[in-house]
Amino acid sequence: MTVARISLGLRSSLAATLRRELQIALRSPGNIINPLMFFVIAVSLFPLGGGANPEWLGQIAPGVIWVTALLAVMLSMESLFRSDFEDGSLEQLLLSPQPLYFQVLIKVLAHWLVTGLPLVLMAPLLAYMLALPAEGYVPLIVGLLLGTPTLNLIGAIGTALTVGLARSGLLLAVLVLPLSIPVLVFGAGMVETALNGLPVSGIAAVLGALLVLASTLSPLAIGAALRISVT
Amino acid sequence: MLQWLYKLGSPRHFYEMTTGFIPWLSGITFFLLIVGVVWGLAFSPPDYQMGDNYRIIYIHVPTAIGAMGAFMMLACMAAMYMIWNLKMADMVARSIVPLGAWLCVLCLLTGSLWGKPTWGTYWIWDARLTSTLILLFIYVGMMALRNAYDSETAGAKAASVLALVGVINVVIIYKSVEWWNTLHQGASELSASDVGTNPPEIWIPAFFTGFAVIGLFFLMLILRTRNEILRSEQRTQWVQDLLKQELEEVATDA
Amino acid sequence: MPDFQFEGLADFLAMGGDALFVWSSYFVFALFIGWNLIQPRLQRRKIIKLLQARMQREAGLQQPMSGQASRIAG
Repeated sequence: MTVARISLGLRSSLAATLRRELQIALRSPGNIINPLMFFVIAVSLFPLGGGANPEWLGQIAPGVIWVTALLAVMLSMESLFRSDFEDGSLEQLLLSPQPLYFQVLIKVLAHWLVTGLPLVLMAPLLAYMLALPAEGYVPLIVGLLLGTPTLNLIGAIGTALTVGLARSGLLLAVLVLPLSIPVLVFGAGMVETALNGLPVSGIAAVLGALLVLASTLSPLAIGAALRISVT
Repeated sequence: MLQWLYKLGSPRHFYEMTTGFIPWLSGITFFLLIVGVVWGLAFSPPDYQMGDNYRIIYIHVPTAIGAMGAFMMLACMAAMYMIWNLKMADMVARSIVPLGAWLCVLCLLTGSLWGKPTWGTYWIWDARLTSTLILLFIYVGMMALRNAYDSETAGAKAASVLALVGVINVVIIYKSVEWWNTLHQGASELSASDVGTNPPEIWIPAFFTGFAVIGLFFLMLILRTRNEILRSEQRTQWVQDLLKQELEEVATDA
Repeated sequence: MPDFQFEGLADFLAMGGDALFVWSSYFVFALFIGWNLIQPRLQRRKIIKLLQARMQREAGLQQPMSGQASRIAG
């Protein structure tokens, strides 16, 4: 009789978590579509509200796309922990022998793959609609690629703090938006610097540094916040 | 010295020790305040370019330092609470937040009132004012977060997490806004050194008002923390005895 | 000892034409100090009154309760 060998090492447990999170997230397509639709609609409001002069649009494009991406990420954060909290699997996560730090990191990664990455892929189209000059496209995409995971990680701290509270939507915004400002400033600044013809590798490095800082430190805060919310 | 600090960690000792502090702390603080304000308003030479409105910096600069310093102290208290479960640290932290918010508001208001006659505008997106505005948002958010929880302990822990996350962020925010200003080249730096080619004597009253604001901060902090102690330790014997004593005093007075 | 920098009281109050700005700032500062020194005192009085009322309520509850209990039980 053979016994099935289930490996319980860190890598395999994280892979299993990643697979599970992606499966659950992809089951309801709303998880992908809603943030994306918000992104597109909100960006479209600017030419509708402020006039469609391409020169003006091109100037505000970096800021508009970045701010809207930030808001879209923040609005999508609710789906990270809420359903797990409600059905008790969040408690199981805290009780499991697997280190919380890595489990949380993988959860946020899965969440970003489903909600953040589509935004990055949609951004060039929106940039075209806002008449962004050609030099801005690559910095925009690279910046969003580096910046949206950071925004997800910071948003996860806020979500972890508020998951146990009812009607926490605006509180989440009040907590998370100020903390996201550095990413916004450097991300939009990267595009503007490129539009001015200056090199952007330094700014990309700063965004990368912020991502590294967030991915190493925020799981600690998220774990602490989850423990507070669940007890 | 260490024993003294250690004693401060107990609510009862904190309360009893600070009862003695308050009179002489008030005395020193008001002395510094009056010297600083009178000197700054009346005896400091007027600025070559700005005339007399630069005298606002005697309030603006100390409140800016105070708002940031208060946040650093808040982060220390939060760390002490999370690591060693020191309830006293959380009570102090809770009292710091409204004071820090007040200092931010003062800094922004006085900054605006200085900016208008000097640079022609009430608001400017320079690094200092913008970071202070965001700091105000974080202070307010912290109060909202603490109050959103039904359980007081959970609210205290959540506020501590936010404080620790915020303190890392505040430094980054300041630097990022500074960098953003070099990018946009539109905002002129509301730098205190813009006071220009002036004799260093104008900074002497600033020392007085600076220390006065610090003293005021600690005075207000102590007063608020004492109330917090009374409220949260109401079930203990020493607070009950204190209340009875106050009742008797009122009765004998009346 | 540095000199008094103004011509007189009227000049001092005028603050070189920027009176509104300078005096508003100092006024707001005074408001901050006043409020944050008075409010804790008021709060303290409120808390003490509240806690004393609670203390008396609980002390009052203890006596008649024993009488009532024996009446109900007996």
